[in-house]
Amino acid sequence: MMASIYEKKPASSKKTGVLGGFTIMMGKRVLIVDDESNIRLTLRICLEREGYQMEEAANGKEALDMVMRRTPDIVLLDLSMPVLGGMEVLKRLREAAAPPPVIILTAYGSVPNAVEAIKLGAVDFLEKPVTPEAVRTAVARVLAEEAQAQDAEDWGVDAVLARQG
Amino acid sequence: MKFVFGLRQKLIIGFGGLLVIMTIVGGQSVILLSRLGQSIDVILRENYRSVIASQEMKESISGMDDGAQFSLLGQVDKGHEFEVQNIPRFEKALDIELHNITLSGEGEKVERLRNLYEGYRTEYPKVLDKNRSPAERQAVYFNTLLPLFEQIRNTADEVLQMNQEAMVAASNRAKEIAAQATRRMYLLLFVGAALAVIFVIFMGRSILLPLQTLTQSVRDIEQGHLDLVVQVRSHDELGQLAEAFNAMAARLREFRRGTRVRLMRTQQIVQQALDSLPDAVVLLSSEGQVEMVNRTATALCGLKPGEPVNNSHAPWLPALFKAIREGHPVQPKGYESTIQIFDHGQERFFLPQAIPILDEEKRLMGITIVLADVTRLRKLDELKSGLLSTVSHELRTPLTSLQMAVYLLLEEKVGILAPKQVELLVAAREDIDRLLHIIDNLLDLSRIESGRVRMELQKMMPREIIYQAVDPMRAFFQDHGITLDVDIGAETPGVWADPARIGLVLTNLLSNALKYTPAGGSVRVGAHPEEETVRFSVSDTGVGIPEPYLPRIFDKFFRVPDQTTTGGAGLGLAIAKEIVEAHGGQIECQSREGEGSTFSFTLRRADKPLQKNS
Repeated sequence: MMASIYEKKPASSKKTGVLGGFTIMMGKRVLIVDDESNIRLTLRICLEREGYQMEEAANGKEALDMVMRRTPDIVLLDLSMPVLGGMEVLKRLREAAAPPPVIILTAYGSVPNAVEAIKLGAVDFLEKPVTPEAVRTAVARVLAEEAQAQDAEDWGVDAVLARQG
Repeated sequence: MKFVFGLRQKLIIGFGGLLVIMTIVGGQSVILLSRLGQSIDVILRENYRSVIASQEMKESISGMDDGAQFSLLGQVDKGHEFEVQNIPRFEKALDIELHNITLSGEGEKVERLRNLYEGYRTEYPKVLDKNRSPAERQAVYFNTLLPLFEQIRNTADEVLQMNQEAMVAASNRAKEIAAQATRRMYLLLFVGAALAVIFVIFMGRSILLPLQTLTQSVRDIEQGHLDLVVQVRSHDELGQLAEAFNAMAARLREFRRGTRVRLMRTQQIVQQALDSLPDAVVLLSSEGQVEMVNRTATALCGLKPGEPVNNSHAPWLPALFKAIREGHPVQPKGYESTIQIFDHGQERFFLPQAIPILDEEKRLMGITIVLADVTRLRKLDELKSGLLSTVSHELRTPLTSLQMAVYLLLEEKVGILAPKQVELLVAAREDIDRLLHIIDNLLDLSRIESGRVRMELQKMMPREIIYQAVDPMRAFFQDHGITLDVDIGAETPGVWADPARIGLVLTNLLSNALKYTPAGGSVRVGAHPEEETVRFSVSDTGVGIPEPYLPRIFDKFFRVPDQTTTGGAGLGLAIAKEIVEAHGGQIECQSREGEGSTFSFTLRRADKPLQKNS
């Protein structure tokens, strides 16, 4: 209901970022899953300028379809959505071969919700409303951790530790 | 008027009877004794006189005979001497005897004695006659006079004998009369004694018995057997007393019946009044028995009068009873203390309230338990909480994009802003923040109120609590030119607190102090130990709160009118109150308009054992 009120125009897809704070993040694909188009819009503008490649889904089902097609580097997931909710998306993603890291972004930020999401594999839990800075920091941190984990997988833990000094 | 035997009459009859018996017995004995004496006296006197007379006659006739013999022997003078001497004696004795005839046969003998004497008297002078020859005189004497003399003497002797016998007989008869008198006296004594005994018994019966009955009846009445009728049938004063008693008992009975009727009516009215209440009402005796139950309570819990508390159909009853017995009145609290009862399969909620009924000496007489039906209220409250929560969440979503948009614009990454645009967007950002703050507070409040938030109590030092709240705010106070002091009493012990929530309370109080204290003022934060608690306080030298508004200061959405300050929806103090009370503490405010305010709250000391519900 509220979604329809705030709906404006379909989100324009795939704009390439110009310059980001972290060059390492350049071109990383971020999937925004939220039934609110305005939120998708503000998040996109917020992250686009950091150089991420943005993708959007309006509900859980769309999001899963997109993940199946091409796995994004990170997912920003809302919990309460029509068709398929965020928790259900988390459960389905766990079944995927290489699930992307998921940051939960929700207005229903209760402790039990957070605990359940983390159990289902979410790596972070942000409560709406958030500032652009908080979103950027969370995404960057998660991606950096992912990269480290990837490195560790590729090079072994010792190499990572050595590189960290 | 009918003549009745009164107590006086009975006593007179009783004692009078005894008097009569005594008089009769005494009189009888006097009569008997005098009769006895009299008869003996008379008989003895008469007979004795006859005896004396006879004796006298015998002696005088012998004297005359001696005179005759003297004259025969020639002593005629001497004979005359005897004659003169003895004739009057004999005649006097004969005369006495003639007038003293008492015995039968005595008369003839005396008559014969007189005749003989007359013959003797006629012949006697012949013997003394000197003119006659001695032989002639001798012949007269031996032929006539001597036989006459012997006859006279014998007859006199007979009379004497007769009277002597009569005397013996009289003596015997007197003896007999005495014996008879003794017997009669014995009889009289016996009858008198018997009568006396009968009188005593009669007196006992007619006086003591009714008294005993009366006493017993009074005792019975004393013990409350008012239906008793005193059974005294006598018509004397005791009977009257008994009647008076019966009348009194009847009046008492009537009075009691009247009282009972009034009591029953009162009870009925009370019962009906209780029945008309929508709440369940149970009255308990101090011994733990159900005394009265209204219809609602019976319908809901199946409680009946006379049921013992510990064995009733209501599992919640013993706890309430115990609490009152231990001196803790049970006042309705939040919804967490509701009792859930299934009524015809429907879940209903009741808020229990238990009030002790005390007599003048503050002793427990009974307990009133009221279960207020809060099912609807609870539903409404749940609805309200749900609504509040939903609205808060639903508001967050649009606020999120609004906030993001304003922040992004202000970052000027999307495009450079003109100064006026920046000014406008900063204003928008401020109000977005305020709006978010209000929403957060509302959500917090509804959560705490509904009891869904449990306080995570842990031991904390007051210093820790205060500095955690004060430090982040020092800069603001400095900016506003307000001095901020901390004053923690020496030896202030640790307290039980939920760090985050108590932090919020202090922050709310501090931001209020900041808002309402003008530059140059001072704010003092303190903590001081009390008996069971530690009192935290925030005092300011601000504008203060007008007296009339003080009681409402902790109400939701309440703001003192005409105090124009920015920000806040009037929830800060309401939240503080809820949090403090959820800790088991109390919050209060003292203030004088224009002088400043002191807000203080208590937290339980951690060095004292934790009491019951936290």
